[in-house]
Amino acid sequence: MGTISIDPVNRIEGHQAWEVETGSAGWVLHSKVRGMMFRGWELILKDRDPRDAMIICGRIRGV
Amino acid sequence: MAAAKNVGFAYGFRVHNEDSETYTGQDKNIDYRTSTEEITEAGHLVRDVIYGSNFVASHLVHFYHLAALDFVDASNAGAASLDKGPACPRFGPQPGDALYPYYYRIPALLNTYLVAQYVLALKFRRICNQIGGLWGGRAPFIQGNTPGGATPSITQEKIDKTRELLWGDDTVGGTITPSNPAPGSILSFIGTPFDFANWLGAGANPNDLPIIGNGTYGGTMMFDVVAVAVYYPEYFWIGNAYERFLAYGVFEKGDLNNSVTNDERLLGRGRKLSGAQYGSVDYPATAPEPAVQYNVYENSGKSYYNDATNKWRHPFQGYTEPKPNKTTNSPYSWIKSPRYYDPTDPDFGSSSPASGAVPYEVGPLARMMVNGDYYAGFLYDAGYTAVPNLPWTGPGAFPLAGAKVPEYGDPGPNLNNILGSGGIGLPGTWADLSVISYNGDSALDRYAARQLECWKVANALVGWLDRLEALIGAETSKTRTPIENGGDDRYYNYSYGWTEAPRGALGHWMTSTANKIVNYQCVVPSTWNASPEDPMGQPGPAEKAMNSSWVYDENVPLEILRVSHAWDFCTACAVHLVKKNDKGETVKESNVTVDPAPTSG
Repeated sequence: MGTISIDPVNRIEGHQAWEVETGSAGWVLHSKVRGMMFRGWELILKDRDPRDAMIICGRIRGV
Repeated sequence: MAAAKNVGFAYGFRVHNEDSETYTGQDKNIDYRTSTEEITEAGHLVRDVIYGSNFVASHLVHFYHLAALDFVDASNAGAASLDKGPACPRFGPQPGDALYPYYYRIPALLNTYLVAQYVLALKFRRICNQIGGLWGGRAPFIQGNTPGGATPSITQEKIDKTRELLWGDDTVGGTITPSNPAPGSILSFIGTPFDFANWLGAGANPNDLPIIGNGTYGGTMMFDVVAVAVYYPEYFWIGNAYERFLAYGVFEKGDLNNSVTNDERLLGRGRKLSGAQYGSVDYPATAPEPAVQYNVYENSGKSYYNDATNKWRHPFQGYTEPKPNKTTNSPYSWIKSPRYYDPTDPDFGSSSPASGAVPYEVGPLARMMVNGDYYAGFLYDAGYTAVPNLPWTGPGAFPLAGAKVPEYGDPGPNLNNILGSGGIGLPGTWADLSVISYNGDSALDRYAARQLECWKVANALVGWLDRLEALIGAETSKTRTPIENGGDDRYYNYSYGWTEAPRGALGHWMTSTANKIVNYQCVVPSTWNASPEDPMGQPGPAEKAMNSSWVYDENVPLEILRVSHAWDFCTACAVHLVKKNDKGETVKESNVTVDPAPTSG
């Protein structure tokens, strides 16, 4: 029984953390998954030419 | 100059001249026109080839380089270990420890082989990216996709080179074909879904390892995935999520290997509310509203954004103001909570607008479920009915041998009877997984469906290349329709684009005037899957899966990594921000820092 914190979780793309509470026999009672990075694309794209969006956002999921 | 078109067509649908203040996101009296009218067949095919190679690369990377090390002990790679082998897992016991056979079951020789496959897979990752680069200019971060289509021209040289990388040079002899690929090609490395079953069926001694990369039975990714899965069958029950699947659909030109006139997407759009093959609530593409953009809402209650706790926003009205020091409502993530609003949904919670919205899982498993390519019990029906009697790292015969590969509703094993005092006697307290009914939405299903999809997409590339070849020199070979700004600046245009990233359903929503973006919102796959709890108290799909999990030893929580990695999260979309003073001078350029660092709860 206890709280397990994994921060950062490795072997993923990005920064992520888990907080997992376990109870009797190790069953998970409650968990939180935390995205630890701010993205900001929405702010970058504001006031740009709409045609830029596809080129710029192509960088989001290039991995 | 061509007639001015609204740029919204490049992305998806345009909502004509709706007023932003009154648009509710649910108004169906709007004029939709699809972008597919604007993008040529050649444009779609080039995009599909670029995207398809990206899917294959991504899935291959996920299995070998991101996930397999949770199951394979890279620090114990024996003779095959390379000078600079992969890093050891962060957690985990060492060989000789009493619990080593629980955490790392794969025997030394097979383990060594799989580590060698890890290294070999790096080469195939490169080859997949070579195809992406050939058609997209560079990979990753492909340049070739532009509004209105794609920029590359279609040439015989590119097609021949892509075929060579995909299944080998078919000009040197008659025997190399997509179904008989040359060693060293992508299709050869991926193999077929039945490689492991065929290998066992051929009476192979599990200690008699396949020759690496020989393209028959063993030495393929499909072999490796099943080989790993059968050693850890309890993960069919651990990591069960909602059984709620959402896919936007992708690969517009479909499966041209089987029908050149098929304009159905290769991976369809829809929703599915159960992992069962039959008796499930299904919203296929033929339903009136299988999955529609105006039912997507986001909440920032548990996220570090400045917005009211209970506020639900359609992405057209999305609001992204970072507030790293937010304390109201105990936020804990930079990810928002997208939910799907549908009052006809059996799990719909409330009649007030959007507050009854429900979480959905996206990703390869969701796509394969929606498409009917996968369901709970698929592996059983495919002939993997029971866990084979395999050599393992522990004492005696493999204790999970003979366990039934589950069908929908089957209860899980009591681990105490297998691994604990009722079985081979590993110490400690073991969970009785029979309290969980198999629902097809488990950690292992996510791994299995992802690699089946990899196989499906890699083979679909063959048909797309054939069709592209037929278009060379034709009037229809134009890959791009120029999109120009235009329209009336007095009105807002609402556009959205839906597609699938390797990790799941990807949607962007844009509000713009003729020449400027007014609001832009991305709702990406890991936003759906890794979303925090919403105001109705519903955890995100990944949290739901973790909540049905079990950890043997909290000091070695490998189970958490296995359940978490099965989602193939991508939260890497970080950016550099430039802070300017009131004179417009740059005063700070840095990664976004959180000060103080966000704390839990």
